[in-house]
Amino acid sequence: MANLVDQMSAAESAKDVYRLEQRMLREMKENITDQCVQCVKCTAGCPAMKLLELHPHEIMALFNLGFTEELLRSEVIWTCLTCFKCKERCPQKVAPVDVILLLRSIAVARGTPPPAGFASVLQALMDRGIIQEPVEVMLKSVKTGKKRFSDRSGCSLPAASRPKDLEKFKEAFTNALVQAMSEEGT
Amino acid sequence: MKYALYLGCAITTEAYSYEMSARETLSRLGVEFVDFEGASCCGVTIRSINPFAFLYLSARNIALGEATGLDIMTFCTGCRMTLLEAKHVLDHNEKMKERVNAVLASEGLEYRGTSQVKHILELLHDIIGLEKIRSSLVRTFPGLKVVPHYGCHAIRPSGIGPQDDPEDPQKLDDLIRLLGAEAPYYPQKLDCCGAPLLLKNDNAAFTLSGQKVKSIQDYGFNAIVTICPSCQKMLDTQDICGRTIGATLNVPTLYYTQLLGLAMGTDPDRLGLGMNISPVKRIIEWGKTTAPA
Repeated sequence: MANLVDQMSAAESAKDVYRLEQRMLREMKENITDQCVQCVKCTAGCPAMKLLELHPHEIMALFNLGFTEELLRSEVIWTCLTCFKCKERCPQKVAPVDVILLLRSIAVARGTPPPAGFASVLQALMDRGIIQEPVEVMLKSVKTGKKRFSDRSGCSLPAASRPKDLEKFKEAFTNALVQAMSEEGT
Repeated sequence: MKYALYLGCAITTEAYSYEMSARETLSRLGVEFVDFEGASCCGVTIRSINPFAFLYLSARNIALGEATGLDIMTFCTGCRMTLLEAKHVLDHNEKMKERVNAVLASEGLEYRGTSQVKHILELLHDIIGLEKIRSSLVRTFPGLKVVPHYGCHAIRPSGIGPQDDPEDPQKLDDLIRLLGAEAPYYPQKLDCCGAPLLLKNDNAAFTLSGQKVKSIQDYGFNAIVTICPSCQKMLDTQDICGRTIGATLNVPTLYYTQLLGLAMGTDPDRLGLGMNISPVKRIIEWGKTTAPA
């Protein structure tokens, strides 16, 4: 996995990445986060607030004050559930979730490994294009109580749709991964 | 009604009961599906770590669906949000569309933006419509209190496509009442199932799902219905989320299409009901051996 992240971060020179992320952060600040008035509506509805101490309004305040480096190194940006309530509820049309996701992508572009779960998903997608091989499930008949393990065909479902030419898919996916931070931005 | 069916990873590889019950009930309602080959993950899980690769993966699946000349149907709310977000970007940003298409070209694919992306909630409620569904029913569930779990990505973010009110959704409530059951309001209605946290902190993820199921159980409601394979898995595996919060949980949790199939009189085995982990038997037998409340 580490090599996939390395691949992404090595795609551009450190200078290019730095220049680009400064631009993205500046745009985010100019276009959105200046408008935050710290009303705390986002944090009040955040599902990660009680359990994991994610306080979106604080992230917005720290971001506006320029604590970008601290936020990029913080584990708290990885606790967001992407429920999008903060984006929906903000009276100022600010979207803390967008800032959090931008910070994650910049952290990864710099070569910071994401949490292990993200890393293994990325590796699985590279290996087969879908998250896992179709599994066999325990199929218990409601009528007879009989149990048997069953795959898709045992459930009368058509064969799994998945990339046909895996080598071609890997090439294209790798190409997409290394372009993540290139000039036109997102 | 004919659609290109995009299932996504969870349904393709694991959530077979959702696919079985959705294909069964929707075909009875006159919906036809084209199963196209070559699909991959929609990109939802790498959306936050690599925004361009997420766009590429979504565009790739939309392009495969577009090649059938049909609109694209999703059953998973995560796939719905991801494909719609990508479509929103690509249809409004010509430069980004060119960049994505440059990558897609190596597999002979092109994103054109000619197909709409739709989710099963919209299909059932708005396209097929309540009247047509009502005429297919042979059984109702009087007195059964069923709470809807919409799933965040079924209704948010707003502005990427038609669906339901992001703060006060009602369509799944309507669909539950259509089956003669009650759809009571509960304060945790909009609470997240916790699934996205599995990648970072599974204890926290199962705490969220456990707390949601526990409150539903404490209110005395009879069942939970879902419209997403990830939400279903989080709320149905009550042995795990119950253990996480130190509670014994027993709330029947099923896909809406499984409940609909029962109301159509479909054999429970054709709806995959033997795969649910929570005690759905009492829903299958509701009104037969149990007196309505």
